Amino acid sequence: MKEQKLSLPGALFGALAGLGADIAIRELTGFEVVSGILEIIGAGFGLLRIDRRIYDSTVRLLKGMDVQPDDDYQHILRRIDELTFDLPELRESFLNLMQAGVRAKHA
Amino acid sequence: MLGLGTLFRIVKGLLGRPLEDTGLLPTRYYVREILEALDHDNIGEAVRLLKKAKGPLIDRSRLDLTRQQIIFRCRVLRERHAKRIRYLEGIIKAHKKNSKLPWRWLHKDPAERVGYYENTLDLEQQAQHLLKQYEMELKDMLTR
Repeated sequence: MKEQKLSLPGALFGALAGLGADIAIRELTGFEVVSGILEIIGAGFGLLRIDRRIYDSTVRLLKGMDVQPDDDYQHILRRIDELTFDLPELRESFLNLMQAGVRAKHA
Repeated sequence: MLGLGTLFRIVKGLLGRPLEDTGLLPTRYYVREILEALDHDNIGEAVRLLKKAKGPLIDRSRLDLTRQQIIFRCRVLRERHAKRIRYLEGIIKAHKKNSKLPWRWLHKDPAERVGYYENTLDLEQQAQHLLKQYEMELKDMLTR
């Protein structure tokens, strides 16, 4: 079997060529190829359930609010409004959760 | 026999920490770690990891939602600290008022207790200030 030789200058040249190609693509097209590939690899490594994780965290945050057991729905909505006045996406998530809770209670 | 999950956790434990400071890991990794820190109210760690996440390409909205979650938690915790501060200030005020009464002069215990309350008050104020700082930092990141 023929012995394979590793070439350090060859490896350096390959790395430089790869870096040059990445920079050229980024400058010409605006696409970040390396970051994109890393994102896809990351998604493949068991991180596909991230939305479920964010949902769980949102529920935990809502439960972690300091509200009294006898506080009514309107009071809790006002508290959410106060705390999320500049956080529109989170506010929407909270309101959706609250509405789902109310619907489940009535059903 | 090692499962894939265990193997992944071992690899993550060995390589994750050194690599996460480079910011080269996928955004989802940072989002997951931020949420883990947030579950334990470790706001400092969550903010640190949020700053490290450099390449939000397909997960920009998720990262932004995570940032909003940290701000929300900061506000809830600050309110909690504010309640404790008001309570402690009330107790200290009442103790100082009572200590001026002649029949309390010989009591040593209340003075020690006031010292304890004052130290706790100081810690609560520091925590509140720190949370305010984190919130301002995160707000600046929102407008960037």
